[in-house]
Amino acid sequence: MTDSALHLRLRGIAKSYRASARAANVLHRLDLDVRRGEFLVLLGRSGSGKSTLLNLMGGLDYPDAGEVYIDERALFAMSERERTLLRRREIGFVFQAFNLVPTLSVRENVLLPLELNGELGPEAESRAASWLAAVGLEGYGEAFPDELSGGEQQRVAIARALVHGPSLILADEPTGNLDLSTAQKVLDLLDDLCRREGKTLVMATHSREVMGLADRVVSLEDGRVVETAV
Amino acid sequence: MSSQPRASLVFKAGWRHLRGFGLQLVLAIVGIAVGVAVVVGIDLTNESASRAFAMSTDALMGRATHQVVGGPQGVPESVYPWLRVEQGLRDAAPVLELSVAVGERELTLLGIDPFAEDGVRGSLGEGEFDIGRLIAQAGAVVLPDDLAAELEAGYGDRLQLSAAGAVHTVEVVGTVASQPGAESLLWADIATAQELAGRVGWLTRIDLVLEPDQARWLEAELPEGLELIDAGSRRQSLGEMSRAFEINLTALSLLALLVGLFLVYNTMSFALLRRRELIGVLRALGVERSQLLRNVLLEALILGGVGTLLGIAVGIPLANGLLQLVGRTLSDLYYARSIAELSVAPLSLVKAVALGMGGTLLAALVPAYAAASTPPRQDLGRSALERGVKRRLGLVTGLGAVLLILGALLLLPSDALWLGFVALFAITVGLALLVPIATVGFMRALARPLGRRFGGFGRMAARGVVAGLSRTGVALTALAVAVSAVVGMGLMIGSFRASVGDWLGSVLRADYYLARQDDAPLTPDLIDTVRQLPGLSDVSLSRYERLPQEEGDVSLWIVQLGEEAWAGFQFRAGEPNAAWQAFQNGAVIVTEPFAFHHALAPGDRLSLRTQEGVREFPVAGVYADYSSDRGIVAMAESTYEKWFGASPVESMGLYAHNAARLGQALDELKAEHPQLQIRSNLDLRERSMEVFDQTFAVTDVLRILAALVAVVGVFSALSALALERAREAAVLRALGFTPTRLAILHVTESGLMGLAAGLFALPLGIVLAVVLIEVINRRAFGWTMDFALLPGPLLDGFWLALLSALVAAVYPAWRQARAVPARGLREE
Ligand SMILES: Nc1ncnc2c1ncn2[C@@H]1O[C@H](COP(=O)(O)OP(=O)(O)O)[C@@H](O)[C@H]1O
Ligand SMILES: [Mg+2]
Repeated sequence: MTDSALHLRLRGIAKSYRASARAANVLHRLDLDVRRGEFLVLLGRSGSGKSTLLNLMGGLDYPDAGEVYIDERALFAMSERERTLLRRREIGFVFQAFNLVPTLSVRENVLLPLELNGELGPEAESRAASWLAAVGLEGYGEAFPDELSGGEQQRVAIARALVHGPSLILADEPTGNLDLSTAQKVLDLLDDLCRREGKTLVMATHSREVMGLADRVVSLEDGRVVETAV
Repeated sequence: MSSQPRASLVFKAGWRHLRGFGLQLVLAIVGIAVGVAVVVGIDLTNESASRAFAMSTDALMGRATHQVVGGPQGVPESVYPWLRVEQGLRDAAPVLELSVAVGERELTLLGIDPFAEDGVRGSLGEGEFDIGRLIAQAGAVVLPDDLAAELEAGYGDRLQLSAAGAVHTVEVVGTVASQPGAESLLWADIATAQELAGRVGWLTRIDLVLEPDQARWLEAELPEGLELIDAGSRRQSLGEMSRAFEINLTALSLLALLVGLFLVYNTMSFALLRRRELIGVLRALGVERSQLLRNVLLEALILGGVGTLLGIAVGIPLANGLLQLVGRTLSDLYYARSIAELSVAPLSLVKAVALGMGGTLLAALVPAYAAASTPPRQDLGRSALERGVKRRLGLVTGLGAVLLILGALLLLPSDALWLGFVALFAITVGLALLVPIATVGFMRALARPLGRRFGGFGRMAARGVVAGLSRTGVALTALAVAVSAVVGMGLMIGSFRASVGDWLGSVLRADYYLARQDDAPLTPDLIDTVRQLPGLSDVSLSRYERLPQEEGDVSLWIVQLGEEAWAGFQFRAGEPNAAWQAFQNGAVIVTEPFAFHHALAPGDRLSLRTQEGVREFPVAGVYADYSSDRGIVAMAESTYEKWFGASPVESMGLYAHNAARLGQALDELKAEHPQLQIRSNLDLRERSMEVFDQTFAVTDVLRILAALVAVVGVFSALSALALERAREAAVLRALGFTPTRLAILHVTESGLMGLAAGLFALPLGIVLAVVLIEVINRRAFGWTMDFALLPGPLLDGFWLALLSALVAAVYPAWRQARAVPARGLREE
């Protein structure tokens, strides 16, 4: 029973970069379990491997060894296409640098994941609109990303990450480019939405402010995960 | 001072940055190299052709300053002793020039006075030959070493030589050192040459070395019917013959360079866009603008230098290849001498270096200036950058419009050819600058239907092109210009071809044409036999002759025509019926290029030197003819006989009332006289079109080269764009775009660009074709041709644009799709 509550399971993950000056392993036979609906904060200094780990969880990069299981499906045993489809349906990303598609309007950015999953038409439009409303950006739909502030852009990114109903949200320092008060608002929004929808949220950060919101906090040290008391 | 090391560090920072663009850099260098190679190739080809021409003219004329020439028969032999003995002009050398052939090899035989040769022409040069036998023995000849080797003929060997329609046996009595320009010459004594030519008692001309006052004096003293002409001016006008080619080729080579420069612009502006953060930091550290500008230009110079060197290295073998092609055409069209040797003129190389380096600098100037003007530490996001580009779009469009109007205005005031070229250039660049704004409009218009059909995906593709205008704009423009040049040349050549075909259809009226294979005169007996053939209704008789004149030779076409043949002439000026009457009564008609070069119109008079001195002939009309860009004068046989003497017939046009009967009879005639060449109307027409196509074969090669540069340009721009968008691509992958879908998106974008470039290239190509037809060809040669809007070149151009854009997109798209998304996300 406890196993079905396990959403994400990392086993023996190793990753090093050939080009890295230190040539040391960034991740070193790392194990990590994340339960369904859990809000996990991944703490670590800059350069400790947080982004590397999140990229591996989302199948954006390949490990040197080890496996990532999402609902007990081995991510790296899949074909590139299967991995992409899984990501498309079940994972939402929020990045530090927002990464909206500059050539699409705000509304279209939010529509994009729906369209990729084959959802079109008025149904999709209204869902996108309601998500824009949920992040407090009604009326911004026709704006283009470069016309928004950083906080607004990140809110669009959150709407885009959630609109198609993924069960796993991977957020890589989502507040890293924002000022303190904006950051707090964005964090609260993300936490609120994920909890309301019962999403699993893994958030990398190096700031300790987030810790109050999280269910569990782990630190990345020397390429491994160390449990940290909240 | 510490400024020196700082400067070098700043340069290092930039240079290393530039070096990081491996593929881009290689492509830019390739672009410059191809552009320079084409320019060098064509320039060297032109130089070698004219040098070969000058050398063979030298071999024929040597030091001669003047020539004594006569009417079509030439100069009576007796004039030579008169000059040399009675007038005491020792530097006089007679010559009888004769076209001969040994087997398939066409040669020029010079009949000379071996003792007079040294002081004047010196054409014989050093060698081992028996001068006694050369003079005393009938049928003795001397060859250059190389030719002797080629013909495998040594001292005492006999050769079968065909000359003036008969085959003679001659004996080799020695060889001389081969000289450039004299590869196809052989020498004999005057008496031998006269014998071979069947022109005993006559010379082609007498070459003289004269002081100016001697020349003035001699001019007055010369017997009636002879004339003294200035060898210098004659030499020059001979050299003009290949100008038609030079003009066409030079225009094309400049075009290739233009496209190459687009590549440089592309790479430099791309590299500098990517460097904006570095530049911001450097500026924040206190580096001056002027220093940044200098450094960037220095980088451009290095690129330009490498590209230029490579271009020269490739250009020389290219010239060798082109020379084979051009040489064949030139010798077909102008003179039967081979251009075997490539000469590398230092001036051509200087020109190439100046164009390659200067062009690169020029192309780098705008992006360098923009980069140096980056405000310190301003966080220039991509979108801010594109907004800047959109602001500049107004400027570019305005400039384009101004250039276009200026180009059109330049066409009005005069008929100068160079102004025509300036206008052509202005119009091309002007139209090119309008491509970006047209792209924006086109993509906006497309975004809606694409969005409706393909959703956000389709919209993204269309908007992606506009959003990346700083990259796509240049690539698109380069592609459109290159393709429009292909379309323009294609339409021009196609129109030209159609006009020629039309003209051939009109002027070739006879059912059969008959001549001897060696172009020797037809005997009166044979002509009578032909006149008796069954099925024949009418004949026309004609012969070509080169009349030496002060301003160069005039091609005279001596004809005896029936009314039916006359009806085939397309008159550009003059009334056909009136012209017919006048023509029968001593007037001449001239071709369009002849009228153009000599500024003649119906009612004017044309001076020609006849047996009885210079005489003026009324010009009755100007008719269409594309066979010679120098022009032809047509004269009735009766008129010729009156002023020049009897004219042997060289070719006959046969009109049939029963073509089948006549054809059969001609077959029998041919069996009896194997040396005859009998061509049907269709046959001759096809053969003429073949010659036309062969003439333009060289432009095909160059068109392909221009297209190649365009593809490299698009490829370079697209891979730059792909690099720049690595992050966007990674985000799309994170959102769940499959690699295939991402690749399709980028290929679609590129396809849209190709579509746009293809569409814009069509009107651009049509304008270029109209300018080439109405301005350049008319101003250079005086040819009128009808513009034909042929679907072929238009479709070719359209497909070329679309396919090259698609092909160019494949590799960058494939690479991007395969990239690990995590890396793209990390990149900044
Ligand atoms: N593409 C790469 N090439 C070489 N080294 C890399 C690359 N990506 C990350 N690294 C190195 O791996 C380590 C971990 O990086 P990252 O996962 O980005 O850490 P964090 O997100 O915790 O700051 C760093 O030392 C970084 O230098
Ligand atoms: Mg990170």
